[in-house]
Formats: sequence, C-alpha cells, structure tokens
Amino acid sequence: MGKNRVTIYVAAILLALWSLIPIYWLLNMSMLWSVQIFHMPSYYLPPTPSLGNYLRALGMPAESPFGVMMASGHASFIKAGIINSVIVAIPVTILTMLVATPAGYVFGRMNFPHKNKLFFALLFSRTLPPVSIAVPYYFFYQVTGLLGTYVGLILIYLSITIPFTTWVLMGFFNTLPAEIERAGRVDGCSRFQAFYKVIVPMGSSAVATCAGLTFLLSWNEFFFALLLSTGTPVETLPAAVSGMLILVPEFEVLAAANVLAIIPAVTIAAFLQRYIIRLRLVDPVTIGAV
Amino acid sequence: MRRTSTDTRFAYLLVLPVIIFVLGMVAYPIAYSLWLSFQSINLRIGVARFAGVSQYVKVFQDARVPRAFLISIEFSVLTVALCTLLGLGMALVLNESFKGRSFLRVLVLIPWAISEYVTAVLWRMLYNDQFGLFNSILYSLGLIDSYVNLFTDELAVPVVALAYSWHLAPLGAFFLLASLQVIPEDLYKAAKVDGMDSFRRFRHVSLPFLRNALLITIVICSLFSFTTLDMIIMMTGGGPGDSTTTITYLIFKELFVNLRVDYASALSYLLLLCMVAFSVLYFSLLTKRRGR
Repeated sequence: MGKNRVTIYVAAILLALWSLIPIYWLLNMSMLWSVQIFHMPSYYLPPTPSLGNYLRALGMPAESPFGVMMASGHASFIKAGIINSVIVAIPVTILTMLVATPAGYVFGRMNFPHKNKLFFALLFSRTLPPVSIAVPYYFFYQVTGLLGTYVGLILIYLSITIPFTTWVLMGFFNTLPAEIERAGRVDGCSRFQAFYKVIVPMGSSAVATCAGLTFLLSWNEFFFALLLSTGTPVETLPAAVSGMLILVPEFEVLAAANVLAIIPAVTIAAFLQRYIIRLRLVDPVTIGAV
Repeated sequence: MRRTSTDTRFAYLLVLPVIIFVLGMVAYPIAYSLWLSFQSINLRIGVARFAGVSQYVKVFQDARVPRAFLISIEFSVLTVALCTLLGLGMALVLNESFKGRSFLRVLVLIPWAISEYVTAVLWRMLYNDQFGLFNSILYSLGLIDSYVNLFTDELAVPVVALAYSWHLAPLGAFFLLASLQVIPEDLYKAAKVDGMDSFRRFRHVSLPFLRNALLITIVICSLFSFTTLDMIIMMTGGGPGDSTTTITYLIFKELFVNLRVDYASALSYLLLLCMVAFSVLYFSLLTKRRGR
C-alpha cells in the first residue's frame, strides 16, 4: 500500500511539472528585463520581479533597475487585439449557445429520419483543414466587404463553434434521464416548453461549460484571424501576437502579451474542470446512433 | 421515445438551419477551390483561364509534395504516439484517488485550453538557443559548454511534435479517463484476490475497457496532427530548410508567399480527398466496433 501511494504521488508531481513548467517559464520571462533575459545560465527566478513588461505591453513606460523602459512599439496592436478578441468572442458565444443548445437537444434526445447522416455532415465540416478553404473565403470576403469586419470574423467562427458545441451538448442531453421530460410533458407542456422550462435549467451547468468552451474556441482561433484580420482595424489578439515575432524581438513583452492571452484559458479550465470531465465528449458514434 | 410527425417537424425546425449554415460555410469554399484548381491564374494582372488538369499534373510532378506528405506523416506518428502514452499516463494517475486530485485535473487540463499559437511561443522559449530553459539546465549541469540549436534538420520534427503533444495530450487523457471511470471496482478487487500484479490488472482488466477510447484518441490525434498549421507557422515557418514543411504548411506557403492560388487549390483538393477518405475510414471503424 505504502509503496503504491508513493508511486502515485511521484507520478502526480511529474504530471504537474510537465503541465506547469512551460507556463512557469513564460511567467519568468515576462518578469525579466531585456538585459537579464540573455544571462547564462538563465535566471530561474526573476531577480527583480515586476509587472513592468505588462505595462509596456499595454502601452505604458515602466521603471526598471536599468532605467525607464519604453512602452512596446506593438502595444497599440496588443490593446486593440484584446478588445477585438472580446468583441468577437461575446456574440460568437451567445449566438452559438442560442443555436447549439436546441440542436444538441434534438440530436441527443430525439429520433428522426436521416439523423445520423445530418450529424455526420455537421461533424465532417470540422475535419477539413482550414488552409484548404482559406482562399475562397479571402476572395469572398474581399468582394462582399466582409474582410476586416467583426461580422466577417463572427460568421466564420460560428461555422467552427456551432458543430463543436452541438456535439458536446448532444452528449450531455443524451445522458439526462427520460422521466424528467415526461414529467414536463404530463404537466401539459409542449415539446418546446418542456425543452426550455425543464431541460435547459436541468442542464444549466453543461450549458455554462459549453459557453466557456465556445468563448475559448473563439478567443484562441489563430488561422482565420491571421488571414482575415491582420492589418485591419479588427485585428484580434492572436494575429497581433504573431505580428510581434516578425518585428523587433522584445521577448519579455512577447511573454507578457502571451500571459495575457492565456488568462481566459487558465480561468476557464480552473472553473469548469469538474463539468468538463462530466461532459460525455467520448464517443460521437455511440451517441449518434441512439 | 415516441415518434410523431410533430416531433419530426420540431426536430427539423431546430436542426436544419444549423446544418444549412454550417454546410453552406463549408460547401461554398470547397466548390470555389475546385473551380480554382482547374484554372491558370495570374494574380498580378488578374487573369484566370481554364487550364484543365494541368495544376494536378504539376502537383504530381512536384518532388516537394511527397516529401511534405512524409513529414506530415512523421509528425503525426510521433504526436499520436506521444499523446497516447502521455494521455494514458495522465488518465491512470487521475483515476486513482489521492489528495489534490481535482487540483491536478485542472493543471492537466490547462495545456489543452491554451491555444496552439501560444503553445508554439511557450515552447520556442523553452527550446531557444539564447535563453531557453532546456539549454540553460544542460548548461547549469555542465553537460554543454555553449547553448545548442535544437531546431536542426533531424530534430525539428520531434521538437515540434513534443510541443504539440503538450497541448493535445490532455484531450486523449479525458477520453481515456472517462472510460476508466466506468470500470466496476469489483473487477479490480477480484483481480487482486486472484493475485494479479498491477501490470496484469491493467492488461486484463483496464485495457479491454479502454479499447474504444484508445481508438478514438488515436484517430482524433492523427486527424488534428496531420492538418495542424498554427504550430508550424508560429514555431518554425517550415524550416530549417524544408524539414518541417508539412503538407498544410506547403499549401500555406504556396498560397501566401508564392501566391500560386491555382496550384495551391489543386494541392489542397488532394489533401481534402485524403481527409474525406480518412474520415470515412474513421467512422466506419468506430461504427463497426460499436456494432460488434
């Protein structure tokens, strides 16, 4: 028993280190000043920790032991990127949940002709590599004036988030006991009333979890952001960060900007962990064939 | 569940708009790129003319194409192996009960919640040959005299695959964990009574329950890793030389660097056909297992 415990704890600590060390290194970099970064061997702890680089990433100068450090030349893009990413992610999340919740319910709980074919059509759209459909979008957006607009980004993100969220919610609704719904129907509710008066409140934690994941999908999206928003007024944070690699390398500011980019991810993972595990992401086929 | 015509109408009412929107967003570009792939296009003067299958002929004559496919396959195989092993390890640990387990679950989940492009930046900072953690540790331990470049012709693919696996492995872990949790406790007890050691218990009790989840993990990780592009763009730009130029990166480069829209469309169409074949195989494999 004792030996077994030790093995588990050692494995647990190794897992924690594996997950955390890359993030720790990013945090460490973001708290070093540019002259400290190239020290050999590296500082494993920042000798003069400060949030100065975060201020610089957001367009403010910062005091350092080596004199005042200028704001990053890329700050305006980072600031605009954060704002744009939020402006895009919020409507994407709301619209996705409005559409995917009923669709997930229907796929998860009802039988109707061609159900499996329709479901696979939905999932199949997600197996396409984005680069293979990139150029038509670019041309189409250019012609219709959607290039560099919020609406353009939101439309394309919806085509990514809706299938994913429908799939996840379908797995969830599928596991709810059938009696709940029957109770609602007996009380004289129509199918739709039973859905939003009984089922949705029952599944509020799953719906909230999916909303979090949807927000994250939109916040994290890189390729279409790069293609359709770079250099436009709606440039999102991922596109802004990729621009920093090309310009003068300010690694400490790059690190700070990336810490800002992962804050939502870490927050959502922390809050939703318990629910994410409960979602039955497991087997699209078994669920699809109910 | 009772099936009535009102129910069917209700179902279609809620589902069809979703399907039409999503397929419309996909069908239009697929059709358009099919058209592009049969053209010869000069973007500078803005002229397109019908060119038959000549772009496809060019693709088959291009030596970079089989090489890029091989690099993609190498990258996928490495990623799938790493993700399956890591995911299995994570799932087995997280399935035990110990203090701090729910905290560890959060930690394990975080790399998956972090996007690919940030993963690329993170790992570039670990691998860097001027201030990277790995170089610094080797240097502190006295194993190297000066920092080494890890992005060499031979190492670049495994180096990117390791970084990508950091991001992707938790997904497999959660598929596997969900399967582990449905195994009845009694089976383990019985196995213990029978005097099985922990390896045998894993082999004869856990593994049969894990088959489906393992298959799903392998399929999903290979789908993702075969087509990943964000990592390559942000981490190596296809280099050094062409050592990390995967098939998707080759298409990306032809499109946005060389502006060969027609050629890239033909190439991406062939990739698309591969992915369709793969998806069909995937679904039939999974359904067959279920039907058994």
